[in-house]
Amino acid sequence: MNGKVEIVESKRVKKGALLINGLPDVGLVGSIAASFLVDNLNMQEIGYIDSDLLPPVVVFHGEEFKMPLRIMGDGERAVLLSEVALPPEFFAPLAKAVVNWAIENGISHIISLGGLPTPKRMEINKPEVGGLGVLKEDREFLRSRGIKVISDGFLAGIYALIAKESFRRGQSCIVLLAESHLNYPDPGAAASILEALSKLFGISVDVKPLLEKAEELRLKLRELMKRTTEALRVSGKDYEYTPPLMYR
Amino acid sequence: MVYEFFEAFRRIRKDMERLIKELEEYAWGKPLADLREGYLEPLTQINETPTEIVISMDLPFVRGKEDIEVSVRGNEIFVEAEIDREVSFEDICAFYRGTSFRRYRKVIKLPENIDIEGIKAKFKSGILEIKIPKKGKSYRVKIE
Repeated sequence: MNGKVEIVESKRVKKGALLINGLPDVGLVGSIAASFLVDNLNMQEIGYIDSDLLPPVVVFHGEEFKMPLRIMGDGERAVLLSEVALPPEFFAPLAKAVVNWAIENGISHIISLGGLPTPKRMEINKPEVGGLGVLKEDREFLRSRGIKVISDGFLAGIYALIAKESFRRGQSCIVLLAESHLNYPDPGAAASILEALSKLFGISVDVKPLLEKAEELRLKLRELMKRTTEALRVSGKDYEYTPPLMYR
Repeated sequence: MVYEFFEAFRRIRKDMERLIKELEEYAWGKPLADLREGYLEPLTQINETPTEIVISMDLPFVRGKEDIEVSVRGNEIFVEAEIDREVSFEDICAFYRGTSFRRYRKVIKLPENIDIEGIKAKFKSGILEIKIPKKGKSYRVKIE
C-alpha cells in the first residue's frame, strides 16, 4: 500500500448526505459523541478505511472481525469512527482521502466533532460549544442556528488537515468544538456536541443515557485516551495554545 | 541466623518479582492496571508552574473524598482510592480475563524542593486535584 489510503465501501450514501467525523482527539469528545450517535440511530457499517500507516491491529466485536477505522451510515448520514489512536504520519493522507471521498459522494457538509481543552473544565457543568466554518456559508449557517463561531486561534491535528483540504477543494466543512478535558475522556463534552449537532441538522438524540453512562465510559476509554494523548503530543496539537500572528 | 537467611531470600524474591514486572512492562508497554495486585492506574496529568506542582487524576466511580487517601512518603506521593463497585473489562477485552478491580493506585516521584506541609487536595466531578507548593524564597530582581 506504501502509505496509500484505501476506502472500501459496501454501501453508498445518498447524494447530499452528511459526513460526521468522530476521530480520537482531545478528551475523545468526537469518538464518544459519534459512537453514541451510531448506536442511537442504529447505523450499519457501510465501509472501512485501510492503510499500512495504521497500527498493525484489527478488532473483534462479538466474535466478528472488524477493521479499526470504519464508516457507519444510514443513507442520510455517514459517520467516520476509529477504535485506534491515529498516528500523526497518517493525518495528511487520511484527510486527503476523506475529503476526496466526500466530494465524490456528493457529501453536503463534513462535520468534525472535537474538544477544546479548557483548564477550568472541572468547574464547568455544561460545556459550551463553538464552531469553525471553512466556507463563508458554513459560518453563516453556524450563526443562523445559534452556534458561536470561533474567531481566532489555531486548530491542529487531523481535523485541521480535513479543514485545510476542504478549503483547498471548496468543500463545506464545519468543526464543532466543546469545552473539554484535555487528557481525560469527556462524555459531558460529547453530550454538548450532540446537542449542537441537533441544533444544526435536526439530528435528535436523547443525551441522558450518555450522561448516565459517563463514568463507565471514562473508565473503559482510559487506554484509548492514553494512546491518543501520546499521539497528540507529537502531532503539534500544542499549537492550539499559541495566539496567531495578528495581521489581517 | 535462620531468620536472616529467610529475610535475605525474601528480599531477593521481591527484587526478582520487581525486575520481571519491569521487563514485562518494557517488552509489552504498560497497561493502566496492575493485574497481579488488582488495582487500576488512573489517568494522570501533571502541570508545573513557578510556584507549585499540580497533579490531577480522573477517578470515575469514586464516590467522595472519604474514599481517597493521599500520603507522602519520602520523595513520593501515594494516591489510593476505592472504586464503589467491582470493575471488570473481561466483556470488552480478553487481556483482562479473570481480573477485576476495586481500587485505583498511583505513585508519583516528587522533586526535592517542595513544601510537604502546604500540600492541598480537592475532589470534584470525579477529578482529584493535588496542589504541591514549591519551597524556597523567590527574589524580585530589579530591572535597570
